[in-house]
Amino acid sequence: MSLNADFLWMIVSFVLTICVFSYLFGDNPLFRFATGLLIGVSAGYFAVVIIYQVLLPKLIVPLLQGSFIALIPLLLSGLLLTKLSPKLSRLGNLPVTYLVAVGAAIAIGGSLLGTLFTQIKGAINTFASVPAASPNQKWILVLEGGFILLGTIAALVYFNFSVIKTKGINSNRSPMVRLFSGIGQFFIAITLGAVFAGVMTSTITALIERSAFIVNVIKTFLGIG
Amino acid sequence: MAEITCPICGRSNDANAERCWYCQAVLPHDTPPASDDSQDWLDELRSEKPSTGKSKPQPDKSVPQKPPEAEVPGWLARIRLREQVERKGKSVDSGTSSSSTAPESVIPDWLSEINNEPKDKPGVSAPPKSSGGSPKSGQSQKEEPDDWVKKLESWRSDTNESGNPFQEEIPEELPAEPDLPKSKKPTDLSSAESSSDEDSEANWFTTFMQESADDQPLKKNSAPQQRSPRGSGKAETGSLAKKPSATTGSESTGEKPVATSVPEEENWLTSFKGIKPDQSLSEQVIPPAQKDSKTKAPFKTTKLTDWIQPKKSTSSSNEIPPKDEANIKLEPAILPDWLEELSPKPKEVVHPRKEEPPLDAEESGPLAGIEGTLQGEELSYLYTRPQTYSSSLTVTESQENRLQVLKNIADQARWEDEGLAQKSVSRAWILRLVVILLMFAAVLIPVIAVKIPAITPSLYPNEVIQTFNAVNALPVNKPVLIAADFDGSLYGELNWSLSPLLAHLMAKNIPLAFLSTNSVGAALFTQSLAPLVSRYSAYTSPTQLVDLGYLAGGSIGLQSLARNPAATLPLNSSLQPAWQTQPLSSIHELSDFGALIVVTENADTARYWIEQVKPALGSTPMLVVISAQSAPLLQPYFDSGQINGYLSGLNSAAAYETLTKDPQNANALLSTFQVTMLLAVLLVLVGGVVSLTLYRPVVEEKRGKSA
Amino acid sequence: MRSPVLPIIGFVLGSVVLAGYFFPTSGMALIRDPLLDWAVTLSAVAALIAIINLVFGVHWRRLRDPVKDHLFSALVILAFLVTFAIGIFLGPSNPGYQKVVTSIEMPIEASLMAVLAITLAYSSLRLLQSQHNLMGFCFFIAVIIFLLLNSGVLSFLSGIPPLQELVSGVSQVPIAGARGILIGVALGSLLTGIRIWLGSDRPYEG
Repeated sequence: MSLNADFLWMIVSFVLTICVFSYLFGDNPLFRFATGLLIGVSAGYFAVVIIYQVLLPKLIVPLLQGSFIALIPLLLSGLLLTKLSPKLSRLGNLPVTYLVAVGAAIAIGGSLLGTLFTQIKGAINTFASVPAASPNQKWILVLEGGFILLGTIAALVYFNFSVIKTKGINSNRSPMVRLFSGIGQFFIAITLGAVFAGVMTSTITALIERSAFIVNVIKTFLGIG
Repeated sequence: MAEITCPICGRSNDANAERCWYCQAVLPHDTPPASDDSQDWLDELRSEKPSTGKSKPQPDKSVPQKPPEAEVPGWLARIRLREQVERKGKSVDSGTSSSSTAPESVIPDWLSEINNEPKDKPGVSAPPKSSGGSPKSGQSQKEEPDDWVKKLESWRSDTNESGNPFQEEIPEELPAEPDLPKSKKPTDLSSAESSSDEDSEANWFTTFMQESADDQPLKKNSAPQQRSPRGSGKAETGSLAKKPSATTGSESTGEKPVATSVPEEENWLTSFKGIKPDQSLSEQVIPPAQKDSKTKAPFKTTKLTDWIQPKKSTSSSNEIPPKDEANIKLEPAILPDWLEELSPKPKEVVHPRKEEPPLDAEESGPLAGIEGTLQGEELSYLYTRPQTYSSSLTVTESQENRLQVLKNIADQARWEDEGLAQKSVSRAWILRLVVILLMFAAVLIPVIAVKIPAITPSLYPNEVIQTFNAVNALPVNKPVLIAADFDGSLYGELNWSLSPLLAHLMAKNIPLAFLSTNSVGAALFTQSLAPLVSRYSAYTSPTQLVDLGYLAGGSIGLQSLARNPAATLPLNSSLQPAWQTQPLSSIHELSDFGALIVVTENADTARYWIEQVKPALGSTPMLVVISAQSAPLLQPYFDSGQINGYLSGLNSAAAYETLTKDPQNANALLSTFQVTMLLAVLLVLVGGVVSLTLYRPVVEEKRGKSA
Repeated sequence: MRSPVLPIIGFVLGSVVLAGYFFPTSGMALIRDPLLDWAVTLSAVAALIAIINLVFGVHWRRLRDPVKDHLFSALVILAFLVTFAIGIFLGPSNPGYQKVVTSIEMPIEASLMAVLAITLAYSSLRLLQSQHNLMGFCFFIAVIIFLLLNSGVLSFLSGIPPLQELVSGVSQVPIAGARGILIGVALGSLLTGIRIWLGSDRPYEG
């Protein structure tokens, strides 16, 4: 039974894979069927997961256990549901404010303490090991650290497009800013090239995985080992 | 209750009222209360006449409202002063009430002409003579108080015959009123019939001048009221000034009667500073109201006669008193609006309608004429009629011709271009098909047919080694928390990287707990575990493997998990308490875990975990399994020491499998992966070379053309 | 003038949460932790509302529109209803129900990514067709180098130390640019968060 079920599900996966691959030859009803199915199934599964793994344990069960504090999220959830109605949507502004404010504070704390301070520290980390390094390695470390630091600063400068507007003169950034911006552009080009290569790598891996799956299904279908 | 009779309409008003309730005229509070006998005051005037001319004029008391001195124009003040001086002189000399004669002696010609003209013109009854015009006229008015009324009536009948619609409605006594209180009478510049009133105008005028010289309160606006009755009803002094003859011609004629009939007044008139005999007096002197009213009175309805009739006696009485009496009862200062509009300002042309605006007054817009406003921009240009566009397409003949020419050209060129368009479409299709075939060939051939050996690295990436070392150093009794935050798009790649790591953990028999901030992550992780669970059967027990379920909220949920994991995810996926049984019973906070492994294909998700959860881990290592597309953005975190190690891509997976000596799918597909990657490199290289060589000249040509 | 009530509430809530970053062990944790917990619940409810709006607000409306394509929306609604109904009965942890993910969602998403690989390979042929400048050339060279590095075919150079150092050094170059990008992103997040916290931006109104 389970084998049949697994076989059936395999067939379903195979068919859907072929439906999506048909897009290589242009948009067609098979592809649209597959995407429509994806959207509907994803939404349905997500709704079930939310109900079972969030609302039940964090809202319903505490209320059933007699916790009155759970009334607060229940009330806020009810107000949030009014967002579905255009007439009553203003009532939902309070829970949205709550969510947005908490999210903003989380973003502030996380970016400040999790990325800014640590990455700035990381940019000069290489120089921290210079005193303890051997004389031969010192220069390498200094060059490497300087190179990384220069690239970091130049990349930041590249994203600065502020210009002091001067009347009558074609406003432009200062020569120093333009120099650093050009260097930053070089580093960003390399980074984006690496990212693009990574994307190609990941997609090729997915292609390999799907192709391997198709081959396995065909082999299974044909009874080949 | 005491009552006051309105001098204009004759109706009774409350004694305390300042203005008539009916006609809004200013009420003389000094006037005797209304009484049935309307002739009493007239008699009184007659008796008082000789004596009141020299003293300070009673009209001062009779006039209820005396406008402030500031409102009295300069010329009027001069007139009054002069008049006072002359009266004093005359009173000293003669002691007679001949003060009116002085003005009579200086009455300019036009004024005398006004007095004479009514006699000349047929059908025009002579207007009642002004009281200040001459003692003669005053005497005649005294003796026959009703003569002027009769004259007015005759005049009225005459003017009715002349066809003046306004004059039909004008009561007889109205023209004799020199200083009607303010009333909204539109001025009428019917011109021709004014000549009949010149005599009465002159008398009235002189009387009025006497009154005004005796410090009659005059409003500022009413000050320039010395206009010729004729032609002045247009209320445009400028027009009158420009065309004094055009209005009626009577101004010039009006001057003469005044001058001839009241020669005594001529002196005081000509002695006025600024009065120019050669100019129209209407520009300089206040005309008698009766004249204006006769020709320009706005009375159009019969009901007006009701309130006018009682005026009869009043106006007549105003005319009767000689100049000496200075018209105590009169209110020359308060003139009706229509008269005020007629009267010009001295030395300047007054346009009641086109009055020169003060310096800080608005010239246009809703605040026109109001002083003290902030000068705004001209708004009239803003309020324009919106353009209306027709919905129909109008095509002119020339446009149609040009369109036809263009169509012909396009038709000719179309069949030439069709081939090119088809060629470009087919070229793209062929190229695309070639790429597809090549890619599938690179993938399938190593899998199906030819076994191509893969190039295995002898040195492994630093991050892979760090990961291996970190897992190797994990304590066995502490569970490891795995965050399965990935979806199905890169499941294959992540599965290949995750499998050797999971196998490594399972081989050490480390308990595992997993959760997901992704709805499908837990399900996909379960599928990844499935083949390993069959190898390591201990993980079928819930004491070795716990599914904590879905963590909502993204970064908010992560922060909540970092603060209090038990409260954030109290139940497992089976809705059973998770933190009270093994393996999580010893876990109170995240740092109690042996390690945290984040599996994701998204760099942002990894960043959220590092930002929100890493600070709560303390010394607990954090490892990441990430896809190759996000590896460059994760490198800085590894470089800064925030993560202890990461695996990215098939290459890292193969290296990890090699390190753990557990070859699985990664090594099996490494050759396929390398071949496909080399093909991709080749395609990029060929495309770049072709672009550099073939397309560059075309681009330069286009740039040259555009330049 | 807009009401200041909501921004004040947002500021107070944000302050309480933000204080927890700098004073983690203070008594404010008693207020902060429940706030975070309720926010997690509200986030799930918001996601549920988004799903309801997608299915019944967007696709249901398209079904009633005579012009739009009906079949696609009908399929979406049908798939949602069937999946939801089965899931309510079985539960998300049911292995059979999880086949919905592993046998329907995952194959379609992975196949979409595989199609993207071919599309990227086809588009990489025209990488330099429009970018005839130094930066375009740098990008082109970087793509080739990192494709080779990711493939692992250059691992044979590990036997030559200088080349190995060169390869290692080249692989570290993206760190500088990535760090600059990460710092820039963090600064942007910080500024946006501060604007919302202080009430300058009010995305929650309306």
